[in-house]
Amino acid sequence: MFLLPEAMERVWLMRARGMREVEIARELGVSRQAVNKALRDARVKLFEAFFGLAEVFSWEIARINAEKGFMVARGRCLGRSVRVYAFYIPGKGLRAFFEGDFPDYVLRHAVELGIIDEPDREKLIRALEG
Amino acid sequence: MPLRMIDHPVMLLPFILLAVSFVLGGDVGWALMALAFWLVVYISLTGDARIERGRIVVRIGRPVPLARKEVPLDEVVEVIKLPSASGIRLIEQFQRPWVPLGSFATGIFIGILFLYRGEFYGVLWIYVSILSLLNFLFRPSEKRNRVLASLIVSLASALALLYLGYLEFVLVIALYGFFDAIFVNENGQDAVIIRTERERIVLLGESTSTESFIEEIKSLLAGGSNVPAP
Repeated sequence: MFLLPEAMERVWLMRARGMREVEIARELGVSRQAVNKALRDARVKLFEAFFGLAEVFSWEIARINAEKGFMVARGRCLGRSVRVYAFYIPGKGLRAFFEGDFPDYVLRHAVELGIIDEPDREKLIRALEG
Repeated sequence: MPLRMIDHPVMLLPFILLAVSFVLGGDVGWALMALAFWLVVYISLTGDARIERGRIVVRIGRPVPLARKEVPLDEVVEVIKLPSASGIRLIEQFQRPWVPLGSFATGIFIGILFLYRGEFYGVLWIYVSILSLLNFLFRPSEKRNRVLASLIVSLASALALLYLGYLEFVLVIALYGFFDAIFVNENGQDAVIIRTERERIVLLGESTSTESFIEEIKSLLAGGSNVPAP
């Protein structure tokens, strides 16, 4: 199962919640350069994980956002084209959902990261589709 | 055709030269206008975006780049691929929409001034300006409308030149319009949007170019970054 290293994940999550690098550095008691390096590395790892996931299932990528940790892709299921939404959930790893069939914890996660302002399925789909 | 960046400020250069050529006039004006026309063709045919040494390298012009932009892959925050089925008007995606719109406005304005001064090549500049705008004014899914618009603009320009009595330029326009319409109809247009923390780069190109570009990023990242924890 793909998971970011714990310290890297904490930095990535704080940034995804909207904190600035200097604020993260102050809160964790590390240098801003260390935070910047951790964020860069986290983004590369997330891109790698999402590309890998799409490759395994032959999904066609439409959008990968490593800052908020999600991917939008198109796949095939039972012979028809379906929209796939994948998220990196801290502590859980990658989770993918077909046609916006999101469980509550994904909606809460999206609100926490500021992707949407309230836990609403339609709003989340609109936000992901950009 | 490879992926191209449309909203880089250097894209304004030929149209600025055109404006200067109008003001100067005479032999210098002619030379500048020839240079501006050559630049339009050079820029539109020779720009590209590639992955080199772990970086996205965007060049405008090859082999002599007029501009060059490098983005390390670890600075990339988001990658969006807009296939021709996408319903997004590309002009809304540009970080600097004033560049293509400025080129268009300058080309049209100077073209009209040339015509007002009684010089027929104003028609050519109006034609070039409109045609360059068509690529990103329409949604990628509106391929048929884009082809139709190209044909209408080419026909109107050809008729204007015929009216002014420049038959040789009518043929040039007819050929250029024909190839443009064929190219758009067969290849369509895709876009790749690369977003970093500081800027957004919109690259336009045909489907095969966007596919191979995404594949290159994918293979580079999937090659294994083996990033240690901080």
